Amino acid sequence: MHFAPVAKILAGFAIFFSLAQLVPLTYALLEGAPPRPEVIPIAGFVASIAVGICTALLLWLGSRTGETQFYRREGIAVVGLSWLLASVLGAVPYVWSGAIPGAIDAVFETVSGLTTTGASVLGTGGNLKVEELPQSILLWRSLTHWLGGLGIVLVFVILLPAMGITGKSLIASEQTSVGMDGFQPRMIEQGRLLFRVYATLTVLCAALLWLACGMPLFDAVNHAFATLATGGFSTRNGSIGDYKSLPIEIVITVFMFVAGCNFGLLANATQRGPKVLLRDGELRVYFFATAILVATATIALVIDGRPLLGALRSAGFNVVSVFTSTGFATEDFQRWSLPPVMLMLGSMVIGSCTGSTAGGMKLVRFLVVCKLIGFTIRHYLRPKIVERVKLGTQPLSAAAISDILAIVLLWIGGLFLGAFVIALDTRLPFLTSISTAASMLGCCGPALCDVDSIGRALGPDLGPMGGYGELHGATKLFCGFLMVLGRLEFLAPIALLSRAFWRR
Amino acid sequence: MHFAPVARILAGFAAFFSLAQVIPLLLAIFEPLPEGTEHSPLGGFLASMAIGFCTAGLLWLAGRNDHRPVYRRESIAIAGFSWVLAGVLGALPFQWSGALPNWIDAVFECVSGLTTCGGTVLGTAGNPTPEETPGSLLLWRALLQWLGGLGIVLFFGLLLGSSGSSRRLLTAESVAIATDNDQPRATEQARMVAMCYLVLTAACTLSLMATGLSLFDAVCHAFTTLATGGYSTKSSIAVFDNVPAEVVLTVFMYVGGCSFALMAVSARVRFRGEDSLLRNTEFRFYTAFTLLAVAIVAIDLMVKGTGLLHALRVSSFNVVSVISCCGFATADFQAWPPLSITILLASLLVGGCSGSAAGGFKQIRLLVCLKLIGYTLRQYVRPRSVERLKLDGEVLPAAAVSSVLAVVLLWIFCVIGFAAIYAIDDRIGFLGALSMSASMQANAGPAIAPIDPASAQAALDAVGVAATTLGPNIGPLCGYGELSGAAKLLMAAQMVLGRLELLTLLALLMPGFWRR
Repeated sequence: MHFAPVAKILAGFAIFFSLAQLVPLTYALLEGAPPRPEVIPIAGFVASIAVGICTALLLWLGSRTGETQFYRREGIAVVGLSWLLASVLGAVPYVWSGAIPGAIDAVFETVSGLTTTGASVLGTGGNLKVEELPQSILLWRSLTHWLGGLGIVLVFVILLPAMGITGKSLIASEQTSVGMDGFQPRMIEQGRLLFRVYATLTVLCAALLWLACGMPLFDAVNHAFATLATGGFSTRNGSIGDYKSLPIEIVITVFMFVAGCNFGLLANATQRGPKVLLRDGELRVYFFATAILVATATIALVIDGRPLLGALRSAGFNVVSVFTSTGFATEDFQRWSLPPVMLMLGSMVIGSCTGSTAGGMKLVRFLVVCKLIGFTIRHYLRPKIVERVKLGTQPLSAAAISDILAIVLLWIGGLFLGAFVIALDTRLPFLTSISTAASMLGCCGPALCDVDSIGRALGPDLGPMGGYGELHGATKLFCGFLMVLGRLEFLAPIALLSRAFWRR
Repeated sequence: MHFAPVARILAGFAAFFSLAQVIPLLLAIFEPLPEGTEHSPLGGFLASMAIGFCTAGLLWLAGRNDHRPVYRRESIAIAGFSWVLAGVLGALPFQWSGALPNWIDAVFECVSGLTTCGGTVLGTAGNPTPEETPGSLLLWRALLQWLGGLGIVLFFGLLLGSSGSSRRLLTAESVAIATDNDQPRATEQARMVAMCYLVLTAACTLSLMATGLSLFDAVCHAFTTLATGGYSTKSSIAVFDNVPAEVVLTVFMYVGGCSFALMAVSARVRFRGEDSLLRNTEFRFYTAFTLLAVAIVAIDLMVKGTGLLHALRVSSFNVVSVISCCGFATADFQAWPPLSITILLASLLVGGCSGSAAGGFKQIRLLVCLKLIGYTLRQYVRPRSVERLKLDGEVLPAAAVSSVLAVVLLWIFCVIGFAAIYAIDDRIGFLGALSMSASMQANAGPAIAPIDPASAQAALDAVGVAATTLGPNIGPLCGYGELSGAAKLLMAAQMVLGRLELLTLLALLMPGFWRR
């Protein structure tokens, strides 16, 4: 491991991250007096930008001498350390503006923003409510979503060429190779294209929310940021349910669904026409899986005595929100009966397409596992059968299968170990702890708590209408770790923590 | 698939299974009836044996003129059908003796016995408790588990001698025999395994008698301990309140979770050298897993305020019982803190060693999973390093790894799928549904339902005190009587699914299976 090139990139990253705070700073200068006099956003942002630039300087000083070669391990280190850096730098405005005074809470909120999780401490554990914060702080919250959204890597793809370093080895550690085959050759061009698609969709979403649905402009922009990044931070404590507007729900549902598609594929479609979309196996599965999940949840809600249309509206929005790991909610869905709650938990874990901003295990892996199971049963029946596991028309290599299986295993192991650690807080019953682990790893946001007979959560309410403020500080940090773990799909952070990594 | 050879073998199996009922029948002739029982179980056994022989006769007639050999698909069919047949035939004594008047309850009890699950309906929903049940029926219950422990067809397969058919039969059904198909030493291995099983059962009986149990109790418990079944002659082991007996049971439950074939080989080389049990990776891993789980649970209980000795006593017995998928209990572990419950749930999924009587997806598969994860991480950091996955010094081919992984993931999917169906009964809660599903599939027995927090402390501090659950109590000290009939049948199906390690039954459901 050579530290010099790593420090150099991190310095650039710190600069970029500080410059991004100019947006909310400008807004802070323009907006009126904050709703709470003790919260001073301008001070927070100015101080934070200063800290960011100092950090960048120090890192740059550290990188002037030494090796400049950039290998795989350096790539892994950059990805891992940039998350650490971003979580600390991004938390500074919250703390120093007084919006979220607790340092751990602020870090939690930042990590949750950057990983596009959307779990919040606001409104719980003594923190202010969303509505009580100045708008510039809320804008920064949503912006962390949007920046984190397509992976900090995408920013790197555009940023790094300017610094004269190609970040080829970064892609491999940020996201695994399945479905990213379009990436290797013309990376910079691809990166710009992806960025354009992402930005266009965001603008489109904001415009529709503002002009067609009558949402205030500020809310529309923030929700567009959070939707396209499949994040889930809202500008109201009651999330989307607070607006009580069907058009808003429909627009957001559609864009959440779009954000769960492979952006590489979407970019491809802008060049070669929409036919590419139809030919993609994962997208088709994604479409049908969403339809089936929504239908099943609707039926379950109808059985529980809701009118059909109300059930469809509620299931449509909330299931898509959880399946794409966004985490918006129109109602407290942890109060549903057990079968739809389990459905939500399952969709949280499986997640959407590869190459999307959504979290979760990813559909393609689930698909490969199902195919492998079918193959194993057929093989058991006829041991001499000649057959290979295929994805589309391509037979999968043994190495690809073993990679996928390892990630799926890590997911399941991570769920169990995560639940295990979260359960150290004895207030949290089993469903709460395992769904918290699932929600954090899947970058979804809300957990599904055990509820009593009148629908109140047993223990602290971590559900869609609650927040994580009441958890113990150590649990919050652990949750932040789980989010990064899930976002980076396990391998990079665990490798960073392994002994083999640091051996020369 | 040819039906005739299947029918022929099943005929023999039905006859064998009916003959086994002679043992409890003899007891039924001599024993006095417990108070309050109207029917003698004698009639039940006689009628059931008659039905068994008739079935055998019919099956024999159907398959008599066909001497085609048994191939792989036939042996899979035999394995699947023999469990259905045994599940129905073995249930008849329970129903006709009047002990379990509802046929669904009787089938549940019988399948739960044969699969060594140990989930019971006795003592709940108006059914008699084990203390109110005639001894001959209790013996039959224990015998069902003992026969099921190594796989019910195994004993019958041994009687068939060393023909090709019997070899294929053994490898398709018994989890205790190495599954390389048509391994020439399968019959010999089966004989060795059966010997080992017999010796250990005898040893367990004697040890239990030494701790003060009556002959009847000792035999029944030895049967169900070595089979890692979990049926007791009392409501729970806590009724005896006998620490030496608990220690003996813990040791033999642990032994029941080890590979019998390996123990037999190991005994031959006096636990020395390469073939010894002590050198076996899976055995070492199982031991470490057990010790770790017991230690964590004991510490977790002590944090909750129980004394060291009490914590060790209940954690060692109950955790070993869950890991070996036995299902005996001395404490209501539903009242344990969340951390311990997560450990129990994980243990329910993993279970004991391959080739043992225990259920679960087996320690060796967990070991392969962990090795794969480590391997992937190392490859990730150093993509060009040359390394291969190894187990016990042998290289694991990629195909073997992916089939192990497929079984593990299929196992988890099945557990979750069944749990989703059980969850329709809203009273048992998420944890209840998930743990019940895991427990049925691993053939462990007890589930973990959400409890009323007010009753937790009493259950934590004492031995054998059940906590109050919010819904029906499906925990270790109670039973499944109050669940709906449909749920019970589904649970019975899941037990067989888990007992045959999924693939056999799922293969039966594939359309390709029935094509000629």
